[in-house]
Amino acid sequence: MDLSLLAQLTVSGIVVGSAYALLGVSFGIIYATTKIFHLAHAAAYAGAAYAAVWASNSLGLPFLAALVVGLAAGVLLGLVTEILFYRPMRKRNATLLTIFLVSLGISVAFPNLLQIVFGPDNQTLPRPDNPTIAIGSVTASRHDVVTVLVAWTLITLVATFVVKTRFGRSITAMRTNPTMAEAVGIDSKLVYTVVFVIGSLLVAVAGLLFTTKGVATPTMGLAPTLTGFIAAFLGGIGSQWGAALGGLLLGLLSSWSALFLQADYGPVVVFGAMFLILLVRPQGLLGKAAA
Amino acid sequence: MTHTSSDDSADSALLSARGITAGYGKRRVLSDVNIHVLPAEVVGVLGHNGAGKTTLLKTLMRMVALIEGEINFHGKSVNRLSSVQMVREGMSITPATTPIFRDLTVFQNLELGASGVKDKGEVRRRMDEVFEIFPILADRRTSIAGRFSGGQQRQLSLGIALMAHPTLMLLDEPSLGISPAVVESTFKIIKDLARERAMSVLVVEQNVKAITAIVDRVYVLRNGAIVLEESGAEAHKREVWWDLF
Amino acid sequence: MSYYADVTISILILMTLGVSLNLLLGYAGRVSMAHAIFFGIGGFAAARLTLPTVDELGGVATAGLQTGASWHWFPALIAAMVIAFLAALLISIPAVRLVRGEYLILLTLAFQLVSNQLMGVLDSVTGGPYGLSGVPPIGFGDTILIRPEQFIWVMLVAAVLAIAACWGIGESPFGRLLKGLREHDSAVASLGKNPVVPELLAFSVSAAIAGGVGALAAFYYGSVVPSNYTLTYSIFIISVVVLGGLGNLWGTVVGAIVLGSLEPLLREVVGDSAIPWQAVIYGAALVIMMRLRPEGILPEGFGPGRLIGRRRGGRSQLVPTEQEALDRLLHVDPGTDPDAPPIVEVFDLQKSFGGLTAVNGASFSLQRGQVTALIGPNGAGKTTIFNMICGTLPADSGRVHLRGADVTGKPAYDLAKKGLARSFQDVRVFQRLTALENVAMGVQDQPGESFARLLLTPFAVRKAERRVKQKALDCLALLGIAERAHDRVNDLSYGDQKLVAIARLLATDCDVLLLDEPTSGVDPASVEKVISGIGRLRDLGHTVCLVEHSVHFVQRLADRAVFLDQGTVIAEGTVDELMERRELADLYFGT
Repeated sequence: MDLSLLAQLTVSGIVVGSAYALLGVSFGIIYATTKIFHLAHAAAYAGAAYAAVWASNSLGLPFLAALVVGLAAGVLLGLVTEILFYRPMRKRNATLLTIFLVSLGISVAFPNLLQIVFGPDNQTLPRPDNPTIAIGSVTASRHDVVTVLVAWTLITLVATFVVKTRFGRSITAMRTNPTMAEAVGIDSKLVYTVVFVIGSLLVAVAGLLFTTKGVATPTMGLAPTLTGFIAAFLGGIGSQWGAALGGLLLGLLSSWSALFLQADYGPVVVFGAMFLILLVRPQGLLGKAAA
Repeated sequence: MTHTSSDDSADSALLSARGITAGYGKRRVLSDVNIHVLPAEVVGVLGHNGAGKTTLLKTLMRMVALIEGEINFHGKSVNRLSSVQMVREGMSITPATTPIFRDLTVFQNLELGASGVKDKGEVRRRMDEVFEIFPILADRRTSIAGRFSGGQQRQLSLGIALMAHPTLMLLDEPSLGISPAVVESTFKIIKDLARERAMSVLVVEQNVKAITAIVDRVYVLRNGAIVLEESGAEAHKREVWWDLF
Repeated sequence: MSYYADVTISILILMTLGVSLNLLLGYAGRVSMAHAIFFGIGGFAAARLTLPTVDELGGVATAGLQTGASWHWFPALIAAMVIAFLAALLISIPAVRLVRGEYLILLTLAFQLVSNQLMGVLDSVTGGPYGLSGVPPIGFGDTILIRPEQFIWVMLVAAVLAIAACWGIGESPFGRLLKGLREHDSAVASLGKNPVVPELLAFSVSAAIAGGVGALAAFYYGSVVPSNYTLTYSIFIISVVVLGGLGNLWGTVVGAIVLGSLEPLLREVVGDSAIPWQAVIYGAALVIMMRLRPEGILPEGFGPGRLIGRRRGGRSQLVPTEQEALDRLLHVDPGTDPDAPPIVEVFDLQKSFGGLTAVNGASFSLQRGQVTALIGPNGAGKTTIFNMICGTLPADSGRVHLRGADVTGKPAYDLAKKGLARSFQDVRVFQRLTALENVAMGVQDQPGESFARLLLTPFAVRKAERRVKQKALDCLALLGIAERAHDRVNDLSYGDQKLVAIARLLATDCDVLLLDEPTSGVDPASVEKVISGIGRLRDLGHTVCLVEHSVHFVQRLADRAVFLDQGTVIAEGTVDELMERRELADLYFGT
């Protein structure tokens, strides 16, 4: 075994895993609290990226300002989905399937809308230089380091918020004992709004991190959303650190699998894992069995 | 329902509910129910399992939709309010099962009980009040609630309700899950609280004999309708209950 | 002309796929995100089977990967359907354990993604991302059907056959079972019907049809490419079904025509942007429809017949009177042996949940032809014992005997075949079916509920169904709600829904009937009907056991009662006897 190759793959696994961890926490907090399989999460991811590109290319905004525009767009898309669609449907007692189909419809229409408006080609976000850093025989780019730092900072902030603040605990309370939560007057509308803001903000960050390193494409949002779900699922629905670790694990696994599998098999491994887990242990690796 | 003398006092009532018909979807759980609660009064609601007692409490708390009827609290109509608003109005509800947040500490549980209170200082003051009433909770304020005994969890549930400074406490089967010896002392605490804080209590109970000892008045619900209303003293003396259940 | 025929063919393909998915999604209520995969499996199977062999192509060097077994198209078509059927069966067997609907969505989603990836990667089987080409077209003797104007007839026949098949399956007694399973598995099982097999069959048959269309598409287009069988296409098929109307095949026809015409029409207007525009339109349509009209363009049950004013349920049959029904229905034989053991005996039942003992050695018996109530204070274990007798909950220890035979732990649908059936406290009648269809599902030994018999002996099935409907009508008549027979249960009052549940039980011909809180949730006005309905059961000689919390109703309903407290039997006797006993009152109401 080539140790320096292993080391390099581990480092890139950590980088990718940190992005997956962010995705896991973003999807997980929405799914755990609202029970909605929010496929339309992909719209926030792609929407943030395209908004930043547009702000930079069409409005001429500097890099950081464009990022802020992207973040705002992502949060807005998530909020709109909850307030305009999910919330009124919940009020009318729509079935979970019907709500899922709305999310599905959005996740079908939005990327294609992006394609019509911006064209099918890759969009690039003008970005600052990205020098390579070497540590021993291992190299990483500055962007990689930023990814890891940003991801884990945000994850820590969110996890701390949920556990250590009163409002954060009321989010958990709604999930674990909805009757009591209602009894003490916790406002479910407010909780859902905050959860969608947090989740959409995090996924927007993930989308912007990705675009800064690469390009924006209309369909860029679906795979990260599914990855986020798998990560949250692996870690046990309801636990932020669980989702984060699940994401990290997925990142490491998909990186190390390059040692013995062709690159094409990467997605097969990830989706295959999802399939097997659903079959054998639907509550996830670290979760408790469903009541 | 025929007009009873209690209908007159209903006008000065803290809570007055008339013609309540409620249910879930097609299920009619309550049919034309009239009840009222006076200030600083302890009222019991008895009845068989499935008679609609829990649904009555939830309807008063506006957690269940009203099909027909009028609910007045503190003299104003609350039909259109949400349950979150009812908490602000001064009504609290304590469910029959899992009336606490099992994975949180006593402190965190009580804090959530004051969800509507913004001022941290006020929250602390109320918590100290609760600790005075329930010293056991004070001793174990950083313990996880799920580890407590049934009786202690019940005390915590009462503490949570008190944090909102309610004028009317709705209690659903507070004796559930606690041993008979502790039931009596728990009921005494409820009676004392009502008197000391000039608070009203509407309590649903299965244990007829124990609850009729402490209530001022009692209603009996059977299959969604009120079949009896009498004073606590009369109910406590009553020998035959079969036909009312 | 060719162009329009080509467009029509792709619409017909979409329609056939949609119709087969509707069987699963609409009738059986199970979501599959992977329908395109079975379409693809059929395509690849047919291609691999009909492509010329290596030798025919002149040896390995020149042949490349585009080789096969050189079969004739017809056996290849059949084989493709069989392979798709088996593949679906393999996935659905573990999938039926996933009770929560969202897990099935995710499982089929994962299956779609993995399979589509595998299609692109398994070069030796699928030809890799470029797929297989050179698939021979369909030929009849000398005529090769290669032009769109020729092939359109094949697709038309296929579509009509598929619609007819799905209609026949969906509207049959088997289809009725599917519709029941989409709402309440447990209720179907309690009527003595296996709840698992029909779902597996629905999954596999819909996959088989998709596989068949996949084969036909392969023959027409001459190639099979993994990029045709993506998640996007699966979602497109779902959209056709959902927008058209779940459970309504006419809706799928309309949906396929509308959505299938989008791209060709858009191409005229926006050229190359046709594909993204199509997606925006149907994506937005999904969102708007689900928000405003979830049942789709054509809701279930709405067909051309409705338009000409025919009532749902077909020809109105003569409504039988209660007396006629009473005469026709099966009276339970009380038996002639005075020494026979009680019809149901319960010995020493034990059940604990975690550390809590709910039932602690309960023993009692049910007398033939009598109504026995289980009563007791809260937490006495009445419902737990009830569930253990019904096979819903396994006992830790103890025995239940039915007519002297040990039936402890037997599942609900087994018990129903042996003559013991239960109702549910939350009723669990099938809301989207009519009262008649609900009760018909209770009737035992229906040939139409067996998929094999449905296929092989359709006329016998039709005849049996007439008898089934008559019996169902009689049961409804006996309970006084025959005039509601063709109303959807969702439109009935709660009290009437309870009566439908009792009628459904009656139709099972089980002599022992267990009723779970029969009067709960019924408003005071309708309670009388339920009480007299239960009286009818006794009139016919049934043995009834009920859990009922209201002692007042027990006094009116029951001949005997079993008083339970803390999981054991304290007393047995007539209701009046038990009411006299002071210690029971103390136990119930406290001292």
